[in-house]
Amino acid sequence: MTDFGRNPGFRNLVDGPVLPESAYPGEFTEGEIVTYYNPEKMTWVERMYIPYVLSGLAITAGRFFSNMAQWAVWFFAWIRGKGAETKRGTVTIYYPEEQRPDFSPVNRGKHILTQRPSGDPQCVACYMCATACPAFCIHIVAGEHPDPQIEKYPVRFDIEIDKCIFCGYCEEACPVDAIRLTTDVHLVDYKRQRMVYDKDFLLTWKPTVVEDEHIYPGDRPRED
Amino acid sequence: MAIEDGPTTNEEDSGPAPGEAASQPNQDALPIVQGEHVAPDPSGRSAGGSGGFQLAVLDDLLNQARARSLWPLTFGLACCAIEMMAAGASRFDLDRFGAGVFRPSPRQADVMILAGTISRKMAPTIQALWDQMPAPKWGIAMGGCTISGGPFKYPAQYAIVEGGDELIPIDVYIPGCPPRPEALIQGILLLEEKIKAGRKFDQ
Amino acid sequence: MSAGMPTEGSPTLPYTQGGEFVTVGEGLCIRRIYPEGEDSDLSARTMINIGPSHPAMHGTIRMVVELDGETIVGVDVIPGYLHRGFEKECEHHTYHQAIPYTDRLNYCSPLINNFGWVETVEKLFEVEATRRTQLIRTYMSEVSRITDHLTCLGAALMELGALTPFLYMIEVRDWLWEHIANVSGARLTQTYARVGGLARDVTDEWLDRCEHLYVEELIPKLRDVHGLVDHNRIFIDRMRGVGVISREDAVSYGVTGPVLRSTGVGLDVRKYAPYSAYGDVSFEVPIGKYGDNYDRYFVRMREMEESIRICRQLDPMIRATNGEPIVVDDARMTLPDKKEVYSNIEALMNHFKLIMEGPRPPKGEAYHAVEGANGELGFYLVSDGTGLPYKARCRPPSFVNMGAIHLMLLGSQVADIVPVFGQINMIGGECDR
Repeated sequence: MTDFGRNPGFRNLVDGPVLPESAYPGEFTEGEIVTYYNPEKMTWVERMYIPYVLSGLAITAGRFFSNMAQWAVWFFAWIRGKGAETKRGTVTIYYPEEQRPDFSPVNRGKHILTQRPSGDPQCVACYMCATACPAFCIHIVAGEHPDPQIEKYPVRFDIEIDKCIFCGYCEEACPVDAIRLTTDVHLVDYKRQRMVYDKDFLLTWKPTVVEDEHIYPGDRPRED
Repeated sequence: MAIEDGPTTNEEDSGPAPGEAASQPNQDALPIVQGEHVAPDPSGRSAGGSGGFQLAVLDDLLNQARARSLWPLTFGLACCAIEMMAAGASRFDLDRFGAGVFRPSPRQADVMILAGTISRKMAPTIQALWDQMPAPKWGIAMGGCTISGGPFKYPAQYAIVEGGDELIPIDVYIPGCPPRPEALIQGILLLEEKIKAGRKFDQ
Repeated sequence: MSAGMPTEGSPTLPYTQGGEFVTVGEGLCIRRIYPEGEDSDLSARTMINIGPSHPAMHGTIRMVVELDGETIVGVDVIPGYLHRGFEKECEHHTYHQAIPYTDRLNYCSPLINNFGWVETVEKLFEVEATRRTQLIRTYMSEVSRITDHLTCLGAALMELGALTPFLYMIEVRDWLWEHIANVSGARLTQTYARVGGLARDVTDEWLDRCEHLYVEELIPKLRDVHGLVDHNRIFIDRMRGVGVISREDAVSYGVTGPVLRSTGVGLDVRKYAPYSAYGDVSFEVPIGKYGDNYDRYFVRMREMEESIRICRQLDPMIRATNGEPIVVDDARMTLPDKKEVYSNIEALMNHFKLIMEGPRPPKGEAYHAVEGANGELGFYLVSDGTGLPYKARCRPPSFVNMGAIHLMLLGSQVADIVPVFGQINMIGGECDR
């Protein structure tokens, strides 16, 4: 063990068997980027502080200028209307004005209830999502629907959005595709009391882009 | 790849532009859900509004200054602190809102972002820190755990405090587990709105 | 668990050697050493309390430190400020419902926790995940390891005053996280694994983009960080020869992960007990020489390179298995396909049983360890045949590593707490569970 001189006498507190050097295989390997480097003594260049501080400054300056050059390229492309497909030098997203371009299209956010054309929820109040939820944040009260084709429907369907962990288990558990998670993450509010989303609010959601027929599945033909 | 680092306008409420979304993987794994709430919310969920009553221009100026220099306390409790770090770093850059100066000392901080689960052992410390902060101070509850106990609130729970508002007054609640940096930024903007309007009480 | 462990003359743990435990206050018992012998002048010593909210502690943990001037002569670590009762929660949730909770153990690399949990449950079931699942799990674990090391080193360097590496590393981490979210659905708490498979499949475009991110973002930034700090004397003075722990001490205290490997012990679960597809890829276990902070920094940086290497080897293997199933064909744990559920009553009943009762493994117990970013992350499960675990136990690497921090700190100076603590990379959720 190398004595580093700074705090002698406090090492090797445990008097165990001394491990032989060959006890464990391991390699001081050569990497693609860097190889192992931890000499006992600093070189005289390192000792002088300044050269490596300057080389570090060169790295940050290089990144700054390359970013600025890239930004200028992007700016002229933006003037020509091609800003979207050109790489911009700076990585900062001016968030409320613009969305990050790689925003996950499957991001799990605010819940919605899908609905039949009549406006009733697709949900049949089977309690599967409420059971699957790890945070126990879905509360359903089931009732009988006047339409005999629809057996049950939720009289109340409340999601405590403040307890929700957005794991997507409710979506996975639903046997009739009634609950979905949108990509929306704007759930901020001043009051905790408003964090319970009731059925009426969850049903006010209307699709702007209908990409598949399951958003409005309607009354699917029963196959059983 | 079509995904490049360029800006896109935020015309839609959520999600990327449809053209870009087409190049994203896992399209067919789950359909993309895009849309918006069309009916006005009966519970008055929309934030903002002009409910303030300014006494003097000076007061207004003071509030503007306060709103634009919210210095948070460096105070990470759990997972949400990692997203708070991400929001403070170069990609989202909280400095654009004057809220990126994370202060290590509560004496210099304006806003306490409660980021993470509050255990019962930690609760007295949080109260002490809150008491040390100078007077115009605000609290943000970030994440489900600090709003209500979140996923860790279940019948046999013994270790956590069920909500940060049992300890300190909270001005803005940010649900999510953890909230994305976008949501944290929205929360800070909402808090700015509240300060600028000069509201003394919860609306 | 390894061939290299000392067998003859089991290591003794003489707690009184090199100091003694002294009760210094209500519920406080610190280990104190006497640099000048047993008759040291105790009146000159100062007791200070660091944490739980302190700039030096970037997590919720508390340290009581006894000082002789600037020298640390007594250390006590008080964990538990983020205790959320993970193990108790698992007894109240099904094996499926506990997966989101494992996300919140080590929240810098949630995917490794996910996979560790589900592989333990699969061990209970005595099933093996499909080939494609294993390959994707290995790939995702390595991406997760990269993000964890980026977070750890970025935060540790920032605490030493180097803000630029922090910004570079967090930027790359953000790209990778959003990229993981593209397949898993969340940036941080992905909940990507399922018992017997995965939540979603990855595509070739996803792999292309991941390689693109490595080449365009990660590797240049790693080069930059090496250029910025490696030879900088401020960094060297704070890191080299600070927080030294010997090989014998590290092995005796059960330290794992980069902290152990920095002492020259090349112990890695991925090598010694290969799980998933680690047996099919070739990679090296980078080690250090002296066991100081500088070595830990180097081991972490080199591990990221090795992770990239593993990912590049896995890339063609995943592409070759395109179209193969990502879940095992076993009705005991795998949810049926949604189309089947919508149309077929048998599938609907199976779905209903699995959701309402959860997967029900046979009676038995299982321990499975994966190489987390901080060391050996193990799960021990006891099943009584119902849908809920009878007992769940997690072996958190951070907790064990924090148990040896006094060896690294005693005799150092107060300012050395910051780099030592930063390089141990204590994650509150994992340490306190």
